[in-house]
Amino acid sequence: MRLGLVIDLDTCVGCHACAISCKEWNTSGTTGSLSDQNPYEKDPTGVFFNRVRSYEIGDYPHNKTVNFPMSCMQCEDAACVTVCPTGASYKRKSDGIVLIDQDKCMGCNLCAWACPYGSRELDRESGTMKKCTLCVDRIYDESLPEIDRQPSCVMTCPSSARHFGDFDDPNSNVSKLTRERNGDGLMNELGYNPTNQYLPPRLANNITIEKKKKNIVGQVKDWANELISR
Amino acid sequence: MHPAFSIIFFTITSGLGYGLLFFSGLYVVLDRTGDITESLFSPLVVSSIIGLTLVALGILSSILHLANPKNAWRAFLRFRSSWLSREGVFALLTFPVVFAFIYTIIATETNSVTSKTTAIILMIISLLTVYSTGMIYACLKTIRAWNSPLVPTNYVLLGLLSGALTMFAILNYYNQQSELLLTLIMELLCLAFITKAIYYYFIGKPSELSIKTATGLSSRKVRLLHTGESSKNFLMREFGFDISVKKMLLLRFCSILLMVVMPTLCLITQPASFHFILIAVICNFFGLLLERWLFFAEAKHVVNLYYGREA
Ligand code: SF4
Ligand code: SF4
Repeated sequence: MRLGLVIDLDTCVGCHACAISCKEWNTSGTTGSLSDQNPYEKDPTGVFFNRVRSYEIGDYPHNKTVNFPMSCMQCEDAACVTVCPTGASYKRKSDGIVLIDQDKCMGCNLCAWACPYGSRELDRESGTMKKCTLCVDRIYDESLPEIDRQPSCVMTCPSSARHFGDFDDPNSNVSKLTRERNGDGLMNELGYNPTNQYLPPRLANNITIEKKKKNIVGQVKDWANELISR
Repeated sequence: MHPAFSIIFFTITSGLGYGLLFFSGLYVVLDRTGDITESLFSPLVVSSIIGLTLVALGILSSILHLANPKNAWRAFLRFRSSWLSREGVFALLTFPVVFAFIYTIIATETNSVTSKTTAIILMIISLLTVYSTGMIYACLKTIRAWNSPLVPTNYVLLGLLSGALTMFAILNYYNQQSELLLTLIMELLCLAFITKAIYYYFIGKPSELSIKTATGLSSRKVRLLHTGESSKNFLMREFGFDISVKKMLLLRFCSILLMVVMPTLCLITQPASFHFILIAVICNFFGLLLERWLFFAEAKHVVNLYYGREA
């Protein structure tokens, strides 16, 4: 199995719900807690597994906002694992999920340096590295109804921009979506072979603003309005 | 990259320490007659003890950098894949090797097979450790300025240079002159300068990566609208370090001046004066501090691209 996410850049509305629900689930999950510093003060900061940035593409009027959520890509060639000196970081053979053993990590930051996607963050409180677990503590939980055995972010997304599945299965939802919508990984040139795939935004037709010809009454009204405003 | 003082201090002191150990070993290897036991006995013991102390200080400083030092012992476990682990293992092995080295020069003739073998092992392990330190950075594909064989080359050359200068000072303190070491220092000064110049040329080349390649958005223009953050997060603190071009050029100039030019001038004019040699050593050390600070400050991580910055 090669579990991962498909993220639809066309439908993501940039609401940050995935980031929040991720934090909520994982702060009490296997790698929790995800500490915050100064949460109610001037410079709040804290650990997140998932961050959403927004970009603008093209120039007005041909522009578009693209919201861009990023979390661990569960890379096939994960340098974050090879650089780790303690063996705290590892990639599971069975499903490809990259995890950090919190009992072994010494907080050297090297894996965060090795990750091109900014997916790893050091928790100041525990002194250990933390990252997306693909909700490993929920996707296999048989006490949950089958439909709930998905990562928290996927369950939460209000615009269904996130999909979870097995990329090794050509008929899975994620494989099909990637195929049909020309999905691709990020920064493939670095050779990390990211599992998560991004579906490009569809380029919509421009909304042209035409001046509608008005009838006689309308024209008189406009003229009168202009006169008054002078 | 955020230049953390603990790492800067670690790479410099450990480089210097290993340089000293390397040249201590070299003296024993080059000795044919065995008579250096008389004249060089104390300087060699002193240089290896100073070398080992510096190595230990470096390791301590690198442990201080860890957020969770209680697991530091685990760093020896991934020798097969991780350069940081390799560095740790070699650094640990240095200790018994240096003790054996000191023992052999005290207990046996310096031209005996045992002392020469230990000396050779000491030299090899010194080079290997400094090379591994360089490779910790050079193996990161995410940081273009580091991902080059020039990085370990620089680390090794600068470690050897600072070690050779200190060795020269120790010898001079014991009233020993060494023409050979002086020539080696001059060569190292040249080499260090040339590779550093090539390195600056290499990192000055424009990057092929941009916000467009990073996001994969094929549109003509891509710009950051919002980071989604209300204040600095871990990624911005760790990777978002900026220096102005003006400051960078000034610091590069100062570092080369202190690291290479000053020692060259000192040693050309007054190679026999202890004070001048000491000035050379101190200048070189501060030049190295600047050089290492720049090594981090100038390196740009690809994650910056997602924040609308250069990488
Ligand atoms: S995205 Fe980063 S943390 Fe996740 S597997 Fe890839 S390199 Fe490792
Ligand atoms: S911070 Fe922890 S997980 Fe990352 S490389 Fe260091 S020891 Fe490994």
